[in-house]
Amino acid sequence: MKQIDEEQELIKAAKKGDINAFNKLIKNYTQMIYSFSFKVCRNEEKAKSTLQDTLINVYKSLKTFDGKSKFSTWLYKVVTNNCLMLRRSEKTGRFISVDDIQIDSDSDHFISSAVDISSKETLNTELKEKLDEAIKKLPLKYRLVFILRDVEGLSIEETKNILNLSVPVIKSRLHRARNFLRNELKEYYEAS
Amino acid sequence: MKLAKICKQTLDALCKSDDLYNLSDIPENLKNHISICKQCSSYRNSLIDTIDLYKNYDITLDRNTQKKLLCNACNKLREDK
Repeated sequence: MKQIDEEQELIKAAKKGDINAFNKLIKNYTQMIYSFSFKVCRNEEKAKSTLQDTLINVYKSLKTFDGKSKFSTWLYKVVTNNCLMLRRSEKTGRFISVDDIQIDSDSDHFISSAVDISSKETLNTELKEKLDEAIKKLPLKYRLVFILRDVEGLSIEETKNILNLSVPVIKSRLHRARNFLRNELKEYYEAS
Repeated sequence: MKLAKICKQTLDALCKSDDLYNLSDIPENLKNHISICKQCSSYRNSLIDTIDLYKNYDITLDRNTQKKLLCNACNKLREDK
């Protein structure tokens, strides 16, 4: 409770232009912003650059934070917008479309799942590359839903507010994203 | 191989589920089906594994870089004031 009160005070002060208060406030969230940016763009340098831009944009748009949502949820919205802006500015990515992926294609859906994944497992480089490769093929609009819902564990309501999408659209994108990634990783499952 | 209708419904429900671990939002008939259909159960497990792989793949920003980036941002904000 004390922590929330303290955060409210820092937000209030930062809104008035107190940069030291802003520094104190945002310090606790830099890792979250960096980690989320990395999960979206899969590149450490881009994630650092997004973090830097986000810090500045958070300060500039703090006035628009009305306290109706959690501060962290609002932050996700700002970082998401920065990731989208970065993506637009690059204009180089060529993603394959998952729009045509059918859930009922054939028995490919039924692969064995014998991977033992404990929370302590250290992912090896090869697997990391495979995970990066798979998620990079996923168009950003699907990727964002997957990361917010499944990886970051945000609720459907929070995801809806961050992405300004309806619940059915979120569910549909999550459906395609999960299925796509699972199929991309099937060789890994089969080899295990 | 053509999928049975109930398998198609199950795959669809699993991909949209908010609770792949407990299946609390999956209709009872599909839940029963998952418990007896090896393929659907395997599909569910591979979805969970996929999500877990991405959850476990995180990255940490070292303290110095964190400090530096925050410092740069604050200095830029002061300059802009």
